[in-house]
Amino acid sequence: MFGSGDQTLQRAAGGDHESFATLIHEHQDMVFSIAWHFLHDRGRAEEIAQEVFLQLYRTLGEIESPAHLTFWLRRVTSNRCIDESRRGRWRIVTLDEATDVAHDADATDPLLKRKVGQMLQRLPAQQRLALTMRYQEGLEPSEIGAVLGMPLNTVKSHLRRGLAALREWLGATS
Amino acid sequence: MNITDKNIEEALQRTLARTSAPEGFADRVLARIGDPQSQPQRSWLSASALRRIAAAILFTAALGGLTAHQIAEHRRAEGELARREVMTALHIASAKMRVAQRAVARD
Repeated sequence: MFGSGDQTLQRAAGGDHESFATLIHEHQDMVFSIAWHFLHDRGRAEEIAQEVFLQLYRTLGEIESPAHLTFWLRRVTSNRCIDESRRGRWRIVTLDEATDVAHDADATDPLLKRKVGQMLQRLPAQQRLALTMRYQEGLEPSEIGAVLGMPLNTVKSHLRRGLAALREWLGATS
Repeated sequence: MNITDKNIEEALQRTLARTSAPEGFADRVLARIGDPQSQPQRSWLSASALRRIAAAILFTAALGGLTAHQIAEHRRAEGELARREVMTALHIASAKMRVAQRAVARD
């Protein structure tokens, strides 16, 4: 017995473009947001997200379930972000720029959110990805470890250090 | 500003909230699918079929290994038996030689 998600996946794997478009619509915000929060460059984030979906199209036959699809998309997007940062092709955002590009204006977001957005860009790649998976995707540390291919203790360490760095920096600037 | 961990976590949740993909994103991905390099790999082998084949290969290899081990063991036992037979024959020949030597010495 297959759910509608399974059926969409099966049809997409069978070459049905409409079903594949449905999969893109279901997951594009997640994939784009991971890349956007990592790169802070809308153009590069879209490029990464497009490449992730093209890779998905080529390997749809390997995806076993909707849950596996979500896992696969998070993992591949994270890997591509890391690759991108290793190639050094992403633009370094200065603190002043980060303030401007951080995020759309949010009525509930006074100074703190803005500062957090700035600080995130200064964190090491792995810490930023771990925090993104925790606070964007709401994953538990063990799930983050599975997605990023890290031991649980390493994930906990990245989360702890990332939060500590934010606390320290925000404390120093408040 | 009095910043607590709770403040930071709430700010992180707001800062890292999902954002919408750009308008027309899906259309741009679908347009790129026409690229021959983006065609799906429609293999007649599904992931589960590949797993079954891998399991069958492993089973065959294990069975083959067991059989090879049994054959080697059988050969080793045969070799040991042959060695013992040769040793017995040598002992008998040696005993007969000693009897013959004693007979010659007496004469």
